[in-house]
Amino acid sequence: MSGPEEFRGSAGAPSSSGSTLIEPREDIREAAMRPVMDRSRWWKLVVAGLSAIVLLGIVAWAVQLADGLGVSGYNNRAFWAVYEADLVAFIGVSYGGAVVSAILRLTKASWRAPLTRIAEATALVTLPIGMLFIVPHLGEPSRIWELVWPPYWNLSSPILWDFIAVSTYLLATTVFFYLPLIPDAKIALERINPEDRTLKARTLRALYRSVAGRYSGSYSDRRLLHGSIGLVAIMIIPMAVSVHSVLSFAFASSSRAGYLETIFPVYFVVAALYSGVALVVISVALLRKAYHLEKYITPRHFVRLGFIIAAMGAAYLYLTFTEYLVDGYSSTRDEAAWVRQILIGRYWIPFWFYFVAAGVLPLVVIAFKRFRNTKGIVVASSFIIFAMWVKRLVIVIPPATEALVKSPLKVATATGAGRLATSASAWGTYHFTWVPISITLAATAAIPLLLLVLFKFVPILPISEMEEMAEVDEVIETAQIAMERPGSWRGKKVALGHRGVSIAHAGAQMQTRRNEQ
Amino acid sequence: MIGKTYLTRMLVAAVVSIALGVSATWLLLPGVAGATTTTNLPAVQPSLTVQASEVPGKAVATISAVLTPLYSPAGVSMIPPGSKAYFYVHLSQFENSPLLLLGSSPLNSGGAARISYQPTWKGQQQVVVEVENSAGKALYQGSTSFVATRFVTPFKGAVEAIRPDGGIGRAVVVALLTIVGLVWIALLATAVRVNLGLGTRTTQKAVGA
Repeated sequence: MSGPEEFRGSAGAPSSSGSTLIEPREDIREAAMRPVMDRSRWWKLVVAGLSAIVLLGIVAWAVQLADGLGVSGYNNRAFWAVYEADLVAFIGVSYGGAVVSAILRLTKASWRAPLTRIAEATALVTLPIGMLFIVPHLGEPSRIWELVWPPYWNLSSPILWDFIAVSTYLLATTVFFYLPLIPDAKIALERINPEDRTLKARTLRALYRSVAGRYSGSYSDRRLLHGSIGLVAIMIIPMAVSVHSVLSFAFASSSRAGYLETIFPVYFVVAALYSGVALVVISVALLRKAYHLEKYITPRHFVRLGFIIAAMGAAYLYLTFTEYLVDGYSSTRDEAAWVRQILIGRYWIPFWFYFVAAGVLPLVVIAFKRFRNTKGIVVASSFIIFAMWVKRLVIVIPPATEALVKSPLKVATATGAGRLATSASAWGTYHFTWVPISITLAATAAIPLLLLVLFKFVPILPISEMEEMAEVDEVIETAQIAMERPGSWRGKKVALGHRGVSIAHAGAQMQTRRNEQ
Repeated sequence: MIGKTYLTRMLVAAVVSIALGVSATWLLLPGVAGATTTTNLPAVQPSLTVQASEVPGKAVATISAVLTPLYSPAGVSMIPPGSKAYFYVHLSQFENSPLLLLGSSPLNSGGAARISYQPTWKGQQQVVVEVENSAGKALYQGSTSFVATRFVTPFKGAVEAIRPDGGIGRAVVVALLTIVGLVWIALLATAVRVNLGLGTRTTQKAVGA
């Protein structure tokens, strides 16, 4: 089972076990392989442009390594700032893709099929980018060794547990991406001309052969694969919840007002899901446009993702209200100062920007039919991504700039003479510099860059899944006709049995469709 | 034309106004009048002398402050009841060189206060002492500096030892790491199981058939 010849023709033919295989759909296969086969110049130009931005970020990081965290605007009165917000925001957006895909798989939502590959790929590429923010956040890169090498582990540090949780989630995301790719790798292998001896063709053949393994497309293979994907989907949901809960411990386990919040674990999870689904919308929209996938990814998909966004947005808005209500109601001196600074003080602009752009706007877009379309939902998602990043800044920076050591710490006005000016109400200030802005932009550019590169090797649509869904659609249609015309029932039942799909299953699918309508 | 009666009235009104103004000032500012009674005594500005030195062979420094003179020429104590000396050190490592409170001590009858201080870094240490009254108002201030040749590092000690990996925390950590390990094994096993399982059942059935 090693050459393409063995694979050829197996997709549509009955296997030796006697079970039938899914009918191949040439249009789906061609669309899925379009990015792999595409030779247009725009890809190179876009990749070059995005690479330049990533390079700028690397240069900025080198400058920070040489001159210290001070060049990024950090100081003793603003010890945590943009990198911690980036870490939370980027790992957060990875959460949406994987969890949405897992939930839709487990609930057997048939409309999910064209979205799952892009959603899972988005999760896969954003997670390592988010993890990398630990490096500039720590300042001294050699300290990474203390996270990676167990003898150096500081088990008291929430950052260490973040690293363990995120690494585990990365493994889960990789397996979750890999398993559905197995049948598609086999199909993709058939589409590479065996006579083609170019480096690209040889690389793709080797890649697809290693991913596909011994997959034959038989019923037993598909059953094994579906069972395993289901198992990982079940595992990935609590895992993603735990990742973001643990990420919030870095704040919630401190004694600083504004960080010490018991609501933070659930607050972070909802925020991650909210911004994550928004990123899936943007990724899907851009790739759909770039590779002309409008036939498969329809406005209906965007509207349904929009409903998920609206639900998450409302939940996040409520949690925000709860957080400030509880802190404001039972506030200590530090908490009162912090809440005041956010709502009407020095941080009111970013906070109310979040409120409008990620709190109200998405709900308005989804609520009114006039805006509830692809364009409206993509625009709302763009606002959500940016405003939720701003919200992470509002979470990270104000508590870090509040002076907690008030009475014993004073600012000297003169050395040894004159009265000392108390700094009891002084707040530190974080100033953005070009360094963190460049690094953040680089990370943002890395997402489409990695997606474009990934889909040069991997089918952009889950071929096997979509063909199965198309098959189910056909069977449902057949079953519908059979039910509406009792005379022809027997013949249709035989046809259904031959397809390997039970009447009961088709009936259940039909019921689901009706409910959806 | 302005009449004579009118000018007379204006003059009387002006005299009465000035008289009322002077009287009101005299009534409202008794302190001013009182202060003038003691101007024959010379003004005294007490000074706070601060001394700091390292205890030989130890990572400890002694900081003392003495107020002189203790009494005004009129015999009034310069140390109000409840006043305290607050000892600070300049944190020159940070911007604006803020002052960190080291401790406080009431002034004794001789106008002196003293504390011991363990430096946490080596080198020049600038200390400031401020005497405040019971209401927290700063009265006198003095400063000095000394060189610390020995110091106690703040980066080791009991803090890490009492955190989760000590006591019952050790069991929690072991349990959490076991769960993480099991999740890793389950994920990797799923991928391996799929890889090994694919194609095998088909082949067996085919052979059987």
